[in-house]
Amino acid sequence: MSARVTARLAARLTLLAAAPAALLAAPLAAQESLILVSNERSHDVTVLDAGTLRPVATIPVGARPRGIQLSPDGRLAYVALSDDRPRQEGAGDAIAVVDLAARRVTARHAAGSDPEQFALTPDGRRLYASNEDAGTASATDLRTGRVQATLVVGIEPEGVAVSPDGRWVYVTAETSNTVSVIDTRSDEVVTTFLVDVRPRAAAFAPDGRRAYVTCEIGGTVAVVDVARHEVVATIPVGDGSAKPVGVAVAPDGRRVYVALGRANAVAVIDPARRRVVDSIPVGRRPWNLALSPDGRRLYVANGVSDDLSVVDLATGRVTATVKTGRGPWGVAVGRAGRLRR
Amino acid sequence: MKAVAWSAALLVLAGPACAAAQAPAPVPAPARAQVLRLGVAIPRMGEDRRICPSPACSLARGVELGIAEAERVMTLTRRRLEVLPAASELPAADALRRLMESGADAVVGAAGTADCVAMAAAAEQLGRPFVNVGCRDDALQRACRRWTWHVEAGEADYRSARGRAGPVAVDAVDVALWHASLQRFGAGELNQRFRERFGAPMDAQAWAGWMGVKVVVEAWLRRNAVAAGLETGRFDGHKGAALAFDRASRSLRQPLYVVARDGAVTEVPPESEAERTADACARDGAPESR
Repeated sequence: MSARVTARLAARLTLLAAAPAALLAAPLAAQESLILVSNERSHDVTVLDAGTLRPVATIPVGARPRGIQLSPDGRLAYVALSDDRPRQEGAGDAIAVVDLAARRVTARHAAGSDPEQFALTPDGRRLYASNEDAGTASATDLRTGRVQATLVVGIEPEGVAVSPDGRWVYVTAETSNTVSVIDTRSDEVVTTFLVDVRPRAAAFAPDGRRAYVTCEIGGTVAVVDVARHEVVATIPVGDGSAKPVGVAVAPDGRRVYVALGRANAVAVIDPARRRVVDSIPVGRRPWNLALSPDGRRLYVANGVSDDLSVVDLATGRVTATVKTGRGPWGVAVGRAGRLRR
Repeated sequence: MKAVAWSAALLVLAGPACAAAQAPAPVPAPARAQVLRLGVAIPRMGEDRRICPSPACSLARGVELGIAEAERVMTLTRRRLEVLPAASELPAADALRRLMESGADAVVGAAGTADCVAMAAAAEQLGRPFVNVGCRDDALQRACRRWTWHVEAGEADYRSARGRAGPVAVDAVDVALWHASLQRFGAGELNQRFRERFGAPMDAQAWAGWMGVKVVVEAWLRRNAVAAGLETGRFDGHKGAALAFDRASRSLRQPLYVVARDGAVTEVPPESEAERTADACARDGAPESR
């Protein structure tokens, strides 16, 4: 959760506190009208209207898209692309820049070999990506599109998250069971710590004091004290069949949502009690998820059933299932920006 | 493992009884929290691994990859890995003994059956972990020694996996710890890293060597003591589940793979806890029921 979103949430909560009932019941579509889904098998991005949940565009990206993020102003989407030639940087390996108004890829930035997950700094100027095959993380300057730093991290790096203040980047590594911490001021790996088996994704709490790391094979979520970069708790998730992958933290920090892969569900964690408090069945093989800016809805990309589950978090139920492209992998949610209808 | 350079050692070592007759030589605990000293006692470590003519060579390749990856993790975590190779001129158990007496926190090793038994006995005497990455012998595996852990599965495990494989067992040509065609849960990436390094597929021996190093290093990193880490740790061998050592037998509980004549690979999960506890340790020396 970026500082931008946190600030927006705070402003919205202030508004809601003084709002009449009619405003409280107003549809959210105008405020969170875009949902983007990267489809790794159909090599495109599905764009949905968050209000109607209807598709408004399918944008071809030409290679295998996975990680996806919106620029702070909502005009651009960044999509991690990789080709079918592992362990070497090929023509397909890039961070694609999608102009949402034009509905097409307008630029491609270098981001090392086989970029999979990435994160943007809150100011939108830099992008940190994991390069799974090379065992590195790349820092790309989005103004120039050039890689500014390539850093050695753990073996088989995967998840990337930037702290809300933009200071720290956490990069998980699946084989070494590590999280490497990059200081964005110096672009150096300042420490590396161990977590449970096969860490996948990471997410910071909005206040930046805690981070959460999913451990797929361990079946757990690590709770990290960000000030010390240390694991302070390990929360078991699911019954053993669960494979925690994607993770998102509610805007108020009171819930952590974890996609459980083959368990076909999303776990809801109360971080204060450090335990799972609910499990929400979704589609098949949920990989990644994203919250609406107000934290009321959760969008879950289901990689095998080729759809997106929309969860009403007030009831903990799926209220809609929307068809996507083939192999939906990542989800990003934001404002409409300048999307043409 | 059948290819053994140390087979002559069998003539002078007679297994646990012989080992027990020797005076225990306790090794002082090292005060090197920042340095892990890993002994490697595998045969033919020095042979040309570009052509890799033997299973032992394949094992050595796996160990080499494991060490390379471990060194990276150690560097990232501000620690250091010191690799101590065994003296090739010595019998296996003597080589292991020398490694441990010179400060190895653990030894990853394999040899012929009798050599493995001798190494396990020596480890028992010295009170340092020996991680078996190549000996299948059931007597060794079920001896349930305090200081010997088994990444290699026992012959009984292989038989059991074949028996539980269902119809595919009819066409089975092999049952293995690993297969180069595995893709899920990082297996494809591991196979690719191995192939890139050696230009050859990662076979079961190579996986065992790689995994032997990995479990020792992770155990040490997590608990600052190899034995404690092996006893309590969960490890990722890229088999889709967290792997742990059986408390009694100290054998790694892991899936095996049945390979059919047409190349199809079928995963067979480990026996359930209930199935195993009955005869995991042949403490009385009686023949096993299975």
